[in-house]
Amino acid sequence: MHPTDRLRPAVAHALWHLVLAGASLAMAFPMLWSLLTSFKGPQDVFSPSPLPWPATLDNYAAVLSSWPVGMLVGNTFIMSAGVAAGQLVIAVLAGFALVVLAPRMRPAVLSACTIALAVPPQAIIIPQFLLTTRLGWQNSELGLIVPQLGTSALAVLLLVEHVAAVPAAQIEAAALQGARPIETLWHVVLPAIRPAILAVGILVFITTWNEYLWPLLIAPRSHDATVQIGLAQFQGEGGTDYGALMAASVLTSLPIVVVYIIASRRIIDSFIKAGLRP
Amino acid sequence: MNPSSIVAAKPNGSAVNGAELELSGLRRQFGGVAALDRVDLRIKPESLTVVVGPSGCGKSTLLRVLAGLDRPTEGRVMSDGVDVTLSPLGARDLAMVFQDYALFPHMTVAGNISFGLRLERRHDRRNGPSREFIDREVSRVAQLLNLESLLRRRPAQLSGGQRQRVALARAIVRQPRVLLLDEPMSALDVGLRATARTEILRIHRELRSTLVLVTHDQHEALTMATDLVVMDAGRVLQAGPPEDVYRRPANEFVARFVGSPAMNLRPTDAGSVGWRPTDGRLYPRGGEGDLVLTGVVERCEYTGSGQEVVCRDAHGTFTVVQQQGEEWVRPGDDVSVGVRQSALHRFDLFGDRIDG
Repeated sequence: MHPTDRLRPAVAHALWHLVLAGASLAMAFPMLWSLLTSFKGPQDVFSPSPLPWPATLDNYAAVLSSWPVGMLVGNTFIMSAGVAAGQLVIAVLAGFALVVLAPRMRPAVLSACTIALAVPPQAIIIPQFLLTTRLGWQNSELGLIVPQLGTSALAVLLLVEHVAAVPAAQIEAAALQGARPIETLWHVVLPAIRPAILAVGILVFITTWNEYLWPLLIAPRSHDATVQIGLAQFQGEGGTDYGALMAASVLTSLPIVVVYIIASRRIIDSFIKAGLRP
Repeated sequence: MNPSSIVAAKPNGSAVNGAELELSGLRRQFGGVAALDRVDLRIKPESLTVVVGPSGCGKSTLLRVLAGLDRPTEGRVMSDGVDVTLSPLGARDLAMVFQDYALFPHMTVAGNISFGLRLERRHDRRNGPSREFIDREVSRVAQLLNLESLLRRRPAQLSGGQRQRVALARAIVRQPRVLLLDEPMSALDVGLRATARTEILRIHRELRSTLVLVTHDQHEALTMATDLVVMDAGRVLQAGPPEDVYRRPANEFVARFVGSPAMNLRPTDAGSVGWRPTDGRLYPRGGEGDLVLTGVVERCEYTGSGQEVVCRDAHGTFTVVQQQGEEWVRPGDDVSVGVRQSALHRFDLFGDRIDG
């Protein structure tokens, strides 16, 4: 054996770590920058020095006194959780139906889902808006959540494959033991696809949290609005208050960061088991 | 009541009895291929019927149709005279042990065994089994299959043999009238198979259900069956007690498939003639018997209780079993084999058995 052969894996390892560390830094940079900027005074916002000196909490004070942080975060959380839960219910039921109850429908329905993914949301947003207002759902959680359940195609596509991966014999064994379809779903299929459900749920939750156009249309009033709409208010005609914008961004991302820190191990585990990238 | 007995009184007090199954004109088509082709079969109540055949012969499809997991394209399945061809799963009073056991991985052993009973209770709070009854039944079958110390484990923490016993326990806890077993031994180490066979035979004896077992192992089939069914290409070739199938195979396929080493066959003017390797006797040239063939010894395989001598003649090879103490031949020897008339099996040009 050549002496460098033993070194090679270690060198490759180190190189890989270097690449990954660089990528992580690149991804963390915008967040780091906004965190640092949020402590800068108005005169330093555009200074090339990354360090906020002298540091100030004025931005946070201003945001907390004039901006309904709790309300916006609460609204956004209810909307995101509602959409995630609703899409999961639809996707799980669809997955079970397409794999167990009506497998012949599977190719047709999955093709339809794939086509639905290709339709840009802007193309249907006007009829969707008209329908929602006619139902009288503007400025309400119903109006924020229900129309966004119509875009469950991705969740269906992701979960169907996981339902299909549950061994057929287990589903048949449950049926032979006298389980009704809904009982088979609940006792046999759901526990088997739990990691995938968590992963898809997080994916939908984050996408919905970042949603801008629909909340802007349906709930533009500040006390019904979501975080993304609220943040946009800092970019006014009279210029943008970057310090306050960054402070508000930091504050509103705190809940998600905290949840992630608490549950990071389970979340990463779910994505690995589900074979999905967040 | 004997605590080790498998048959507990059901809530209504009746003892379990196996059902009689009757298949008539059964056909199951997958695309252009008939997995089952006009199958007529009567499965006696409380029998241990073993369905045997090579891979793809339709035996698994037969079992799935019996279970109701698969609908026949044509024909009927009767259970005690009642047509159950289209009755829903779970309404047939039968249980099945799957080839890979299909245990529920997130439930404990106890949870797996009690699954069906717990569903029964949920479906019918008034007349369904009580919680105490469920606990009692689970510990009864756990004791019977030696699973008491494993009840809190999950399937992933069990060995292959233990998983199989859990699958059996889950199948018999509700005392089904029919128990279907799909290649129950195939996932086990050779050493465990004998134990598993004994376990299944004991369950059959005590449960008094009708057992239908599917296997591709003719040895397993011969040793376990009260009734043997040989299938090939979607058809039942022969059904009957294993001794009959072994002694009077209905055709060349059954003759070759059942018995090990396989029956020797040689063409004749009217079809073919066959004899079991144990029925031939070797002579050093010029033997005695009603059929005498000559050949050269190709190889000798020591079996412990004797040896299997493989000889070559103009038509290929044939095998003769020599008992311990008479292993005098060596590879390269010129030999004759003699077979008595009574040990010969004759088949016509279609391969069907001739004579009585």
